[in-house]
Amino acid sequence: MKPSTILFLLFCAGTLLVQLFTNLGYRKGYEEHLLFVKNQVFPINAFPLENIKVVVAKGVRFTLYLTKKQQGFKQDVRPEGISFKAQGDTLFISSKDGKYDELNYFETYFRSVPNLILLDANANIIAKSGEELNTRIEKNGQLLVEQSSFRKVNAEVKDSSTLIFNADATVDLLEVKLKDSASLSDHDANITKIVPIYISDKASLSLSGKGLRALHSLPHQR
Amino acid sequence: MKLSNALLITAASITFFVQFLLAFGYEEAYQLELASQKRIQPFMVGVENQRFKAIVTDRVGFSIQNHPSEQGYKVSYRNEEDMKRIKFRVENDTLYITTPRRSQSVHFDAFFLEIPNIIICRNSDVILKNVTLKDLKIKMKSMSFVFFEGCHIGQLKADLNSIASLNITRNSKIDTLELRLKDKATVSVWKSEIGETKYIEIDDKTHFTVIKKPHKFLQ
Repeated sequence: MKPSTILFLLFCAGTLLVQLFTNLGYRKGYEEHLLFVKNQVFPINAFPLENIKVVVAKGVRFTLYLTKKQQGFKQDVRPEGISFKAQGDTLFISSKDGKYDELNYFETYFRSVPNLILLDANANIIAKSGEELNTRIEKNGQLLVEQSSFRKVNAEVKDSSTLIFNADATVDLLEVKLKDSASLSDHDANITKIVPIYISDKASLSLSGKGLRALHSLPHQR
Repeated sequence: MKLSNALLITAASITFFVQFLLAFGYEEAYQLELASQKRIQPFMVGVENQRFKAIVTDRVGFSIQNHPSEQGYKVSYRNEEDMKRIKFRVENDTLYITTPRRSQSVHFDAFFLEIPNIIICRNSDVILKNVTLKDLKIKMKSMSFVFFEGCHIGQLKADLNSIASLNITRNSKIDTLELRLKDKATVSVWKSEIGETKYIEIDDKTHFTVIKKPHKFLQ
């Protein structure tokens, strides 16, 4: 057999073998992911802190649920770069390098709504608590409030961050500070009253007709 | 001569010949395009200099601009054939611009000696470019989009229905904006200035967005 033929056969065999391994690896990962989606395998991991008052999230993407059962987080198989650290009554959640990555997604379960500080983080909150939500969203953060009801939401939105209320959100009173190029977006939510404490000249507002009527008169520009 | 050389020369000749023909064709089309860009055609014969108080549109897309000496429309050469579908009709002091069915492909520029004070749109896309007016009333129905680009309007009264969308952009300035928003109508203000806003009627499902300077819009 000619050396070129041997080389060619080796090359083909190697390529096929790599494809086979890749396929098997992906399949396993995909199956694990499916199990995660179906809530069949991944348990809720406990936070390193029981009584959490404040959550500081950096560079991560998560959904916050309220629960009466175990507090904690549930992770997909893929992300490896998320760390949970406790300090005082504060839980710090961050990506390893502090940079935002769509893959760094997880679900969190809290017994009561913590004060939420998002730094370049993306969070959805689903909480029919009727409680109060205090939040600060910075850098390029985003908080989406959906399927939730709050007596009061106190929000400070900075830099290029966004606060969004979905149609299934109910808020009795929204007090909001929009600094820098921050934006507030209301997708037909049920907000009874909006009090803009401060709104910068570069901020953006997107309100439904209902939201517009809920808007208390704006403060004078500082 | 070898056969391969003959084939190569033939292929090269054909390529050059086709390019030559294309260049001539394009040049002619380019000249026609240039000519049509300069040419303003009257809306209708006999109304070349008539001042209109209102424009009523249905299923058309065009821009509205001022012109110091001519009135009519300008369309690019490639759209001239499609432009035949668009009908201009004058009743008293109202200009009707309509087409039997909506066509996204035809967009033309309409020039007026004096911009009409009333615009009624239905299923239309209208862009007002660098228009200065004391008063303007706009009534928008169905799926209509109206854009203000670099305009200065003293008093703008806008009445929007269904899913109509009013967009005030590109450094436009509106001294007084009076809004009547129904159904799912939307208003967007981007890089523009609103002196005072009056909300006459606002339905729950309507929506408005203001990007930058929300104080100017909401105070």
